[in-house]
Amino acid sequence: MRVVVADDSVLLREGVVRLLEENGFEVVGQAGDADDLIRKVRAHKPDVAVVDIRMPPTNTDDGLRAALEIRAEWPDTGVLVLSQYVEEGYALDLVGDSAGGVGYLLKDRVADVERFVDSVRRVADGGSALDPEVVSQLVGRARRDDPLAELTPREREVLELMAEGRSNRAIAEHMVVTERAVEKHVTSIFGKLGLTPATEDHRRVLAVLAFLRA
Amino acid sequence: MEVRGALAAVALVVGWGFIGAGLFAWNRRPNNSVGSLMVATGFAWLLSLISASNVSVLFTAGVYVGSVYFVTAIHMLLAAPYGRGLSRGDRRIVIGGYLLVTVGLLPLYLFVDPAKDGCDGCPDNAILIEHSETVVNVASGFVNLAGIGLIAAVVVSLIRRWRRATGPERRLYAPVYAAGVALMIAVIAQLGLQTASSGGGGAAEIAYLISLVPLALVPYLFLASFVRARMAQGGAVGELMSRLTAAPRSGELRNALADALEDPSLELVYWLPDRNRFVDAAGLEYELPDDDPDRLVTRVARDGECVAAIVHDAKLPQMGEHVDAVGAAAALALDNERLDAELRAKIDELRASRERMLRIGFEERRRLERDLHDGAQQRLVAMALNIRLARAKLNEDPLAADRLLEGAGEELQSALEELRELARGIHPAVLSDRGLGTAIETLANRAPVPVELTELPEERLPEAVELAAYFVVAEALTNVAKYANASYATVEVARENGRLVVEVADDGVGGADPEHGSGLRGLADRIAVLEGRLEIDSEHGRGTTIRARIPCA
Repeated sequence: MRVVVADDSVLLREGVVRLLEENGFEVVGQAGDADDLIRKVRAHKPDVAVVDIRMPPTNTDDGLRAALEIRAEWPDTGVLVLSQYVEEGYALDLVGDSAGGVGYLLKDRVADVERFVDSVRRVADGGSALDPEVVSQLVGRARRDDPLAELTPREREVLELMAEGRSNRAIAEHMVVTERAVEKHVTSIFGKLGLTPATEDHRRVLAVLAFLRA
Repeated sequence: MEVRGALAAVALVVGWGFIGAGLFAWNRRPNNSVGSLMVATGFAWLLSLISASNVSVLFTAGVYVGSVYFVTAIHMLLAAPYGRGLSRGDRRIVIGGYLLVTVGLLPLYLFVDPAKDGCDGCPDNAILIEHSETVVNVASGFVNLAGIGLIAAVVVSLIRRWRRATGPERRLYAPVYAAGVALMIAVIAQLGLQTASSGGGGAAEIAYLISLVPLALVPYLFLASFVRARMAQGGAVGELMSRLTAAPRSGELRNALADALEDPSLELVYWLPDRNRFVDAAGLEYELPDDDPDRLVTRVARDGECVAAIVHDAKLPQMGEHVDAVGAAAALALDNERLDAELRAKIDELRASRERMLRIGFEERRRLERDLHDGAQQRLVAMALNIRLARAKLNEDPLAADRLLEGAGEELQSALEELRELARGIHPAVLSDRGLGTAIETLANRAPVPVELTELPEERLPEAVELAAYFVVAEALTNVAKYANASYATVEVARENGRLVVEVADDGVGGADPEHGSGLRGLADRIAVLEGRLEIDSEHGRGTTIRARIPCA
C-alpha cells in the first residue's frame, strides 16, 4: 500500500514513516505543509494520506482543509487525519456526506501500533476510522428524550465500535463474542433507533453519525 | 377742614401706594402672594375711608371694615418675602385676625351708638340694636385684648423666623421687618390716639396724620426687598460667570456655585446617561435626597438633556428661578465637569477591573503551574523511573521489564490526556480555527445537560470578542452543570445594534450571585475590558439567565 505522510514536525513524521514501513506500507512521499501535501498527492495518487491537522502555512486547521480537498479531488485516496484535540466538529466536517476512505484519530493513537496500522489499512481500503474519544463524545452528548437510553449497555458498546468504523468481525473480536451475536446486536440497535440497516461498514458509520449529530 | 382734606389726601396716597406697589410685585412675581396681598391691603384701606361719609350705611360699613387692612397687612408680613404659603402657626394667626375683624367686632358694633360713645358729628350706626354701655365695655375690652394678643403672636413669629434665618436671608428680610415695625408703629399710634382722645379735634387729627407716614412707607419697603433680591441675584450670576470663564479647576465649580447661591452646604452631582445615575465630582455614585424636606434638588439641563443636579438647602434665600438662573449660567461648565466626572468614574472602574484581571492572570498561572506539576510532570517522572528500571531488568527478568514498560506507557497516555485538557482550557484551538459557532457547538456537546443552540454567528468576529463570548458560554455552562440542577439550557449568540449579545439560560434553581464566586466576577471583568456588560437574572426557582453585551461593530 502506498502512503503519503504529512506533518510539519520532522520527528513525528519520521516516526510515523518508519512505523508504516516496518508494517509493510510503501511511503511514497512526505510533506511538511498543506500545499506540499496536495502536490505529493497529485503526483503519487497514493492509497492513503496520513495528515496532521495543524500545519503551516497558518498553523490552524490547514491539514483538515487539505484533507477535504483531497477527498473532493481524488476520491480513491483515503485520508486519515491526526489531531492533537478531540474535536467532533472536525471529524464530522471531514466525514461530510461519505464515511468511505476517511479517518480521524487522536495523535496519541500512533503509539498503539497495531490499532494504528489497522486504521490506516482500513482507510486505504475505503473504510472509516473514527477515534473512540470522538465517538464517545458524540454518543455521550446530553439529549432531551434521549433515544440512546433505550439501548442496553452491550448495544451501546456495539454502537460505539460501529461508529468507529469497525467491521462486525473486528467488533466480535474486540468484545470476545461471536460474529452472529454482533449481528443480532446491530439489528436490534438499528430497530431501536429507527435506522435502515446498511451492509457496508462505512455506510452504517455515516448512518450512525447522522443519527448522533442530529 | 384743611386737616380733614389733607387727611383724606394722605389716606388716598397710602391706599394707592399699596395698590400700585402690589400690582408691580404681582406682575413681576405672579407666584409670590405678597403682591396680591399688598393690593388687597390697599383696597381694604381705601374701603375703610368711607367711614368718613355722612351717610349712615356707608359710615357703618366703613367703620366695620376699618380694621381689615390691618389683618391683610399682617398676612402679607408673614407671607413675605417668598409668598409661598404660611407655616401652621402663622396660618392660625392670620385666620384668628380675619375672624377678629369680622365676627369678633360684631357684638361691639351691634351695641354701640356713636353719638353716645362720644362722637358728636358721626352719622347713625345702621346696624345698632340698642346702645349698651356694658356690652360696649366688655366687647371692646375683648377686642383690645385679642388685638394685643394677635400683635404679640406676630412679633413672636417674626422674631423666631429672624433667629432661624441665615445671613443672606436676613439681608432679604431686613426691609420686610422694617415694614413690619413701621406698620406696628402706625397701628399703635392710631390705637393710642383713639384711646387718648375719644373726643377728636384738630390736634388729634394731625397726630393721626403723622401716624399714617410709617404706614405709607410699608409698600415701598416691601418693594425694596424685591429689588434687593434681584440685585443680589444679578450680582451673583455675574460673578459666577466671571469665575467660570477663568477656567475653573475641577471641584472649583461647586465652590463657585456655593458662593453664588450663598449655600455652603451645596452639593453638585453629575448625570451619567449611560449608567442612568448621578455621580459626584470624584465619580462616586450619588443618591438624590428626594425625601429630605431640608434639601432641594434643581436639575440643570443643556440642550434639553439633564447634565447635572444642584442639591441645596431648601431655605435658600433666592429660591427657584435664581437657582435656575445660576444653573443655566453654569450649564456649559457643568457639562464639561460632568464629562470629567464620567471619565473619572470610568478610570476608577478600569483601574479596579485591571487589577482584578491581573489577579486572575496570576491565579490562572498558579493553577497552571500546579496542574502541570501535580499532573503531567509527576507522570513523566514516574515514567522515566519505570523505563530506567525496565532497562536494568531487561536481561535478567524480561517479564518484569515488560510490565514496567507497560506501566510507563499508561502513564504516558494519562500525561498526554491531561496536557490536552490543559491546553484546551488555556485556549481552545477550535475557536481560533473555526470561530465561535463551532467552538460553542463543541461546548454544548460536552455539557452534561442538553443544550439547545438557538442562534450562532456564522461569520468570524474579532478575536477578543470571540474569546470573551466563548468564555461566557463556557463558564455559564459549567455553572449550569455544577449548581443549577437544570434539565436543559439554551444558548443564543446574536448581533444586535453593534453588539454581540451572548445569552445562556437554564431552567434550574436560580439564585446565582455574581458577588460570590470568582467565576462570574472574572467573566464580568473580561467583558468590562471590552467595554461590555454582564447581566445576571437568577431569581430563586426561576432559572438563571446570563447575558453579556459586548461591543462588536
